[in-house]
Amino acid sequence: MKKLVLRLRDLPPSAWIFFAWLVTLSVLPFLIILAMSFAVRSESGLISWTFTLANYERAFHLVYLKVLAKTIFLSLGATITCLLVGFPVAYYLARATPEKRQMGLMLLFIPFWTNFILRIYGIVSIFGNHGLLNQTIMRLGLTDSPIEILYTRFGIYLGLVYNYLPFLVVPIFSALEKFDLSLREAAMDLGANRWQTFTRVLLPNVREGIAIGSLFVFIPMMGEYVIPDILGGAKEVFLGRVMVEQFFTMQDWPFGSALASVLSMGLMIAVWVRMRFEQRKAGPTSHGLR
Amino acid sequence: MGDQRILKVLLNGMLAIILIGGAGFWFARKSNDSAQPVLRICAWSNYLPQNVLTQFQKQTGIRVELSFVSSNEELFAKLKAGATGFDLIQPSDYMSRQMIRLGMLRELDHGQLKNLGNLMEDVRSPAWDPGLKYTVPFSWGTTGLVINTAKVPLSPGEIPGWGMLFESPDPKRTSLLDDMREVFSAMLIWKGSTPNERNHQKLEETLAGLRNIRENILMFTSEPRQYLARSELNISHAYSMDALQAAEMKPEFKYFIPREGAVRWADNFAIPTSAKHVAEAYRFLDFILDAKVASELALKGHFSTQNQPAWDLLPEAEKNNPVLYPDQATKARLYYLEDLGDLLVLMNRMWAELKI
Amino acid sequence: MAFAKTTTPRSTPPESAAVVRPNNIFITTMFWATMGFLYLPLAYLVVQAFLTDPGNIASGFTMEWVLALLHGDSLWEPLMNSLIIGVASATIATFIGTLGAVGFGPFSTVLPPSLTALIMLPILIPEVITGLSLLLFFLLFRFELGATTVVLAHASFSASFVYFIMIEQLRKLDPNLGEAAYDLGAEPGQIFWKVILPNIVPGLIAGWLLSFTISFDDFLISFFTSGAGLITLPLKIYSLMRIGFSPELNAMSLVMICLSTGLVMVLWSKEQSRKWVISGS
Repeated sequence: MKKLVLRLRDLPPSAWIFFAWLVTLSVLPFLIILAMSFAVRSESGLISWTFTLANYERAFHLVYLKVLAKTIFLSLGATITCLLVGFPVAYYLARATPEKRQMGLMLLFIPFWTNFILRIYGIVSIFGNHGLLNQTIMRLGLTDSPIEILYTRFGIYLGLVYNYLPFLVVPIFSALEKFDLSLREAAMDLGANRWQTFTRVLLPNVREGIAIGSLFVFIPMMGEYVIPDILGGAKEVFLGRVMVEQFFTMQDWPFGSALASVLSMGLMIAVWVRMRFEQRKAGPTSHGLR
Repeated sequence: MGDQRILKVLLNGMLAIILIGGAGFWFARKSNDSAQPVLRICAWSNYLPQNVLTQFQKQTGIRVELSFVSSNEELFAKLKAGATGFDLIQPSDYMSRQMIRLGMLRELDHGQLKNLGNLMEDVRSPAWDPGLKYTVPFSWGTTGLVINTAKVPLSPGEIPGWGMLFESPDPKRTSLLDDMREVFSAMLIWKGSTPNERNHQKLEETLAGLRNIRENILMFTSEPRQYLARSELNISHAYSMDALQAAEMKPEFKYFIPREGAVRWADNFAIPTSAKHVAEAYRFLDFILDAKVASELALKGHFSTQNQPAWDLLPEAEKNNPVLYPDQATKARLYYLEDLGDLLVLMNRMWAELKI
Repeated sequence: MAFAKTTTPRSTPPESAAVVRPNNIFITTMFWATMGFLYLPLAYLVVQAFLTDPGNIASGFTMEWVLALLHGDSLWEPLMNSLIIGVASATIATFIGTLGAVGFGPFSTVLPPSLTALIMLPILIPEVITGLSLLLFFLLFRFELGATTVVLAHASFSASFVYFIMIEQLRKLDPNLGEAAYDLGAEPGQIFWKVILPNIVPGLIAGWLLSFTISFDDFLISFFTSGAGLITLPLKIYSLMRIGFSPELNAMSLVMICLSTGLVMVLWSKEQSRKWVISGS
């Protein structure tokens, strides 16, 4: 039997059509952003195509490094919370009976397939100054003035956790599902206590999957634009907002592109890490394009 | 094998649907263009109520397709990047200047605008377009303060200043506009400078002042109306149009031009060079320059009209409204925003720094 | 933002499931508490639409706002736009994604990881960046922003979802089918029409539905690529939200929630799309 290898000339036209589609509508727009990040903002138009590194110099100015630090701080906090909450949820699903698991997964997915804007509005309706929560506690006479939850740093954090939680539960769940949970039982039967079992048996087996899952939640968080705006009252600086502002209010497309490129680099690294991880798992059976 | 034939038909059908649908869509738009005269206007929301557009259609048979932008920069980006299809746009003062300089606006044929003479004397030659070669002034207003007087009592006749924002009596119910230039301008005016300050030292001081109050106020928002309506905000930095529309809903909301002075803005109509329905655009321009139409629009939109006979038609209460038609002394303390050129890079950075 | 599955979850639980002790009370409580946290805001949106005074939970219930919305015309234009864009983009995405899966399918086991990553890229990139880059792309190539650009934008990332669904579907029917036909000397075209197509209809349906749902629910990409003239249902809700919280907004949210949830339920019932229902927008 012939060994199956991928040769470009064997690819049927249909593959090429798809490939062309991908290049045109995903790769090319991406390259445009990248190219624009090296261009100059011109007053007589939007951009003039003169090569410069000034946008990156600006992006690494102390002020924007602080913006980055603050964005990382908030996103990291939210990611860690998602992990702490998501782990038990995923663990529950991984150990549930098949029927319960199906139902649980469905329950998990419905809120996150409803529209993003609705989810935000839901948060506002509950946690806003006139939201359900404040209405209830004021009616109960616990406090006279509403508790300020939104329009603060905490509002952004809450929004991030709410929106990204399931995107982290799923990879944790996949990692746990692949792990043979009876190993944990075995460890405990052999006298390991809960904590030992958790740190020595369970965690080492799932930590890479979880780490990569976290990365894929963390990076999109940093690009958030609507959450800091509506839930944070636009009071906190956030990378995604600064980036979008460059395009829509500051008229500085090259600088906005530079920020977008920096964020994308982070994502590329995440993709690369995952590919390395999966390759290592798959063993040395890598196949290249001949 | 019958199955396969059905499937083949199915997939081919799908392709056919895409092609026919796409073509149909394209032709529908084409024929739409020729069948009934249309005019595509890109304006700010709240300016052109539906009944006025209906009236225009009745008079001229031209159907108006209205779309909105939320900022001058968005409008600029869309036009500059080749978005065609707008026949009439509504750039503000500084944006008009920029668009004229870049040749993005069509030179107006004053012969087609018989109502142009209705414009007030003092807008016949604004700084951004001397001689009105490209733009038709439509409205002006200010950026000031809206205060819920039921919650924040003021002594009778008191005209509050910018201190209401920066030393707010109720900071947790105070908002600033989410707009770099407006926020800096407010602080600059409060500190005795003008919005077009270029001195770095002064700008740094302004930033420091703003940073001090950032944590105290409730939020930055360019849409304070919803929060005002629910008493989440009692003092807001706002555009006069928005503020007066809020005041119409609840009389306890009062709009003020702060006593230290304020930013003044003007919105103009103009025809972009890429316009496809120029004749229709002229008809519309002439239509809104008509005294009756202009006065109705000004009354409903809560802006100051630039149209003399339209002003004459306004009810006395409106004419005497000091925030819409301020006296000369107040007018002297109103400033148009100028293009800051390279300074924008610095200010942009300061805007980010403000919120760190 | 979108998230693709990191691995292929097994459709059957591990053999050892039987030995695993049931979840303890802490884990169970955490699970249900989280579900409560996730569902409360959405459930309240449903309740809120029927409140006489939307700002006051104790004000009693009325159908007035919902009926007013259904009889008025602010709902229908955005809704129709959303549906048309959904159908158009889902159809294009299904077509293109299927072509890709059929073309690459026989080689799917030997595709270099970089190519797989490339195909996954539209799913992985944060939506803000996808939206911005597509906007720049359309502007630079002089597209008129409107329905066409939104359809293309939605189809561009839905196609990758369809691709993965179809690859899975193709693999499931018989891993060696394409290969065998190829070894027997069948032309790529023949492989497609005679061998593969008849077996992939369930995948086609699942892919189409998934693409439709992605498009229907999408906010950010539409926000960036719609230009000024076009308004979809999520965009309408957003613009209402910016002006003020009104009964109209609440009623519209109710409509959106019902449609959205209905779509997910349908998707969930299709085995082929179930594991892809992990991406949201």
